[in-house]
Amino acid sequence: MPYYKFNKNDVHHNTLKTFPSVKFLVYSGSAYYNNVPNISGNLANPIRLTDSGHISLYEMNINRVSTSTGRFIGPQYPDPVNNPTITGVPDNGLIYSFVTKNGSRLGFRSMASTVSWNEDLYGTGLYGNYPYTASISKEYYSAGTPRSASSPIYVSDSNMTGAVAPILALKNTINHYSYLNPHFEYSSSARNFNSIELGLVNIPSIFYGSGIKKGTVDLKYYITGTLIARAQDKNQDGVLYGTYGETSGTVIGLALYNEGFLILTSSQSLSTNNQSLYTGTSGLSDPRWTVFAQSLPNSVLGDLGPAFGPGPDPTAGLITVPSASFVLEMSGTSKIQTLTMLATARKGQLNQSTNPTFVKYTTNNSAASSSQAYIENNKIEIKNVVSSSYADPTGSFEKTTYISKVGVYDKNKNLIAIAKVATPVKKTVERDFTFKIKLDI
Amino acid sequence: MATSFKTFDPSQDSVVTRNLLHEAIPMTGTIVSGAYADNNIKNYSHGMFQSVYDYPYLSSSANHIFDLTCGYAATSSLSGASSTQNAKKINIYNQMAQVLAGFDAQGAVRRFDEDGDLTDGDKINEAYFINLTRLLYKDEIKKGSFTLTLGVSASYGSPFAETINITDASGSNGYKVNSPAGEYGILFANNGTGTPMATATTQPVGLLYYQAGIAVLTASVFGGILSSSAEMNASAETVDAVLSGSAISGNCDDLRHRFLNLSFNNTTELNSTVYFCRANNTDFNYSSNPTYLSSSQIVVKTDAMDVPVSYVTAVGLYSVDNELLAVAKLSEPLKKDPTTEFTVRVRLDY
Repeated sequence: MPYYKFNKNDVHHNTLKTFPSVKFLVYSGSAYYNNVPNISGNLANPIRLTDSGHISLYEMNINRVSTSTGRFIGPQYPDPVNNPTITGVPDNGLIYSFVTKNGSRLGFRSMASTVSWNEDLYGTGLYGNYPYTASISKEYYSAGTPRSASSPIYVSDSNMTGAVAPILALKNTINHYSYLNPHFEYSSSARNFNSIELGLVNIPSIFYGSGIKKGTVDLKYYITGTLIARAQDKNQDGVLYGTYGETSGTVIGLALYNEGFLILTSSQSLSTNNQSLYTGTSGLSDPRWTVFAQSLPNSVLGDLGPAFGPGPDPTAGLITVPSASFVLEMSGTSKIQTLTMLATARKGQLNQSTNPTFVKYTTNNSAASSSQAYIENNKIEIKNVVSSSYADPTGSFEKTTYISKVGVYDKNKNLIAIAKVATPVKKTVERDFTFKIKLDI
Repeated sequence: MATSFKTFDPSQDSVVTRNLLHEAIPMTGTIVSGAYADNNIKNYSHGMFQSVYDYPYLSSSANHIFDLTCGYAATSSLSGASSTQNAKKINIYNQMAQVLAGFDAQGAVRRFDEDGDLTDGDKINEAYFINLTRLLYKDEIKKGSFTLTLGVSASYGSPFAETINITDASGSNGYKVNSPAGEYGILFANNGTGTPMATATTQPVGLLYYQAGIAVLTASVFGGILSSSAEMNASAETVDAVLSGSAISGNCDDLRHRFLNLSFNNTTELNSTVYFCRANNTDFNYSSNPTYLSSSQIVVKTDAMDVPVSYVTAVGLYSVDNELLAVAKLSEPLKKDPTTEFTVRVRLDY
């Protein structure tokens, strides 16, 4: 089998940029991703152990529930301190991760055990749980919601307490994009994000890849199924403009394309006839862009006290707003590196095969060997496969091969890839072909 | 970011570590033996193996969990022209054997050895193969953690009335290394429910290849090691009869029918390099950050006698050509002045 070396013009590296569309429907406390409904299994409900608004990484634990089986996976051993009887890796019917505590300081960010890493003894198992999930979330800030802890964050150098709200943590990022549009000012003469009502929608990057495609953000606000307002980033600069309804033509918020945030700043009423409990268990208010996607869990932020600062307000409860539904559409950006190789079969080459069917069936192609010599038969006849209208005489002989696959080798001639053609390609002496081989990396 | 760099001393400032992360993988037999009316079982037109999923495979949520197949050596008593799929079963056995057991000095494919000692002892001539998916076993199966429970009751209708537990109990310290596919342990069977085994002692019944994620199970788990052979199908045929008389897919169905439980722990190797970035008392007390100066005065100093102060927010790792390769961010800025020094421990996982 002959080898041919790729020339510098035969190998190309390209990046394919794809824009997968993403759609979220938010309704009554749940999100639905790309119109997938919640599916229940015969054992687990929902079947993926997370609702349809979430992506489940690797989709572990499909239709499984945690049950006590009394079994252990692997060896069991007594732990003289914690459990003098027996311990080990329990089989609870679910796939889960674990690591043994040792000097490497490895642990899980969210462990099933309530005991903190520091309090566990060396040698004990630390457990994680699956599935790992991600979904969009919403934070609603009223004008009075503190953006940082009410006490100073730096009480002293060694005693740090408190926290800042995500909107304040984004201050530098928001200001950075002010070169695109003056609306990207955290604080300006027009308004200050620390003291106005606003909504922050957080979209994890697993949904959009390396960035939200500019000009594709499309927000729709429905009341009892009727569209009352729509907003789009029609100028592709991250500023969201109302395109339908009461706010048509005005700026209603900002989109951070690379970071996956939507900041909704318009508190103008979208309808005066459809008041609902958007921000808690009391206090009816008009629909407005700051309460877009408000029916996601933990959407209302409150002050959790000096030590904790702003966080989800436990007294607000789940905002269901049964009359309102929200649709968020956009396109993500996914870059795929591709390798294109051009393998050329030239005229007058690749016309010989070592395949046993290349020679006539009746030919004796075995070699004569003895203690003195090894002599190959040099009278082996190549089978004539030239098409003819008659069985005899056959068509005029012409060397013909059929190329069924192309092997790609590394510099040490290790076979690293095989490209197969759908049907074998007939190669004669006067034909030449170039096979275009594409590989997603 | 200051423009001053500090050079690592590889002998003191960095260390390479390897940690093992595990996952517990339980698979109850109902997934395998009929919870989804075999909609999670995929058979192929080539008929050489069967794929098992954890959910009906037409669902996008389904994960492939393992493949099942079976075969026998050309020297097996079951091998014969009248056996169903005879060539395929021999080919499967040889394919698995040449990858997992390798070749002998004469270039012939080695048969699977019951105790891993290739020089003598019994060979496994008829075998079932369980090829676990890499999604589940990751880098390798954790040695000593594999348990397979099979129902071996003589009756086909109530397979789990008597069970055997098959474990690689000796794997944690008694594994073998004479395979081209990596390390492997010996699978031993002992009585689970009831006393179906002909002898009370544990019996070697197969091999478990840890890095390849393949369990090789001798067909005698349903025959020779039992006091009364198991009926493998509704026609009450013995394991030898179905291995020679049924197709590979039929044999896989019969194995799944007696599959009560499978569990193991997998292993993922986490390789890390820890860099100790040392800021001594005289290092990094100034900053070239634009906010460090206001009207050509250092912001954090009010008079000339004040000590310089900076706040460290990130550590950059640079190549020998001073190209920024990685940035480690601190959860909160660290105050640095000439009276303090600290070591930032930067871990890079790969």
